[in-house]
Amino acid sequence: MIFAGHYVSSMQPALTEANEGELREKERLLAEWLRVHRSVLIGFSGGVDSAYLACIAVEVLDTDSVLAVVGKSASYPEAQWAAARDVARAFNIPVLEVDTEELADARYTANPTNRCYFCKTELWSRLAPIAAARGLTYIVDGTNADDLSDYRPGARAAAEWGVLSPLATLGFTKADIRALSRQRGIPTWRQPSAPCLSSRIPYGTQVTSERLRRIEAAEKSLRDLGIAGDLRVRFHGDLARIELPPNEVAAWLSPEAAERLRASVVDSGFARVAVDLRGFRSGSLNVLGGIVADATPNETAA
Amino acid sequence: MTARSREGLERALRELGVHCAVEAFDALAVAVPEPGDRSLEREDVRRRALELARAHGFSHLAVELRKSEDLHPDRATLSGD
Repeated sequence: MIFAGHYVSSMQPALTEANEGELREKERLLAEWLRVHRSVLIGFSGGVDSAYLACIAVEVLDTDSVLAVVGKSASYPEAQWAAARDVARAFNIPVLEVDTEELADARYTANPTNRCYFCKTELWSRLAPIAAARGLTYIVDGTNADDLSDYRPGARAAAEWGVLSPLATLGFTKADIRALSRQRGIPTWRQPSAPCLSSRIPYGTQVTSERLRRIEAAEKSLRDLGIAGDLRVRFHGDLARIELPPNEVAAWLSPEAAERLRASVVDSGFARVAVDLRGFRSGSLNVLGGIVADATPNETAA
Repeated sequence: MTARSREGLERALRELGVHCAVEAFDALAVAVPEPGDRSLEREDVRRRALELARAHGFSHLAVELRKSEDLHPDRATLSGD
């Protein structure tokens, strides 16, 4: 679905009479939760969830009681950082950028199935002293209720560092957050989800800065071709496997379109390019690595 | 759990009318089409190919995009003149 020139992911973002009351009540509870907790440092990615949380926080609390912190590294796409900056500027969210060094941790770069644990441990270990130094009582993140059923080893690190997840606690789903963000004019409501670039590399394959840069460049080149929805460039050595929005796969297989696609990805440093016939799947490499079962076995080739 | 078979998938795809070689990267199968084969542009063929990949033990099936000269050797010769 295209809305105002932007891709809208598979979500139901509009408030309806039926659910408006329920969402308003959730938002009221979130405001109350923030008032009770008084001051927060937000792990801020500029994505749908943390952007919404930060916008509510600055509305409810005074500016000195909120700080949104972005952990930057080679695994964090530059475009995402730009989006985070834009949201922060537009909604007067105090934001701080902190470099993180997960790529210096061999346990992370070995890319085990619990890689996210090491990344989040690095992130929260950097953010905790900042919260303490600024007198911010709680560290919070944008984890939502849907995330709780997903495979997320990073959640263990959050628990170890005492990070709270008010959106998940109060039962906000991704669809809730998109709907409420849309109503508030927060542009991230229609933003595709954007996990870190390391999620494009199969478990057990080394994560390196060079590989992350190559993946980022390839995805940017595909965006430049006009692909706006959920897409991933998955790393398989010299081969890039492209996961396109499922309803766009067919259009990119015609010879002329395929050549444009291939050339743009080759220019980013991959020798070979393949299109996944099923298209984008969240957690695709978890399925490929046998970490989780394929949740949608009745695929529809589009 | 289905035993993974690259050869079996390649054979099944050929029977479906998809003329390609198959390369395996663990549970990912990559179909490398022969020059001129455009069968995977058809939705019904893609749907069936995905079913065959699963039946042969692959969770993912991708099609390699070949350089246009590889697919159209005649055109490549002409454009190289």
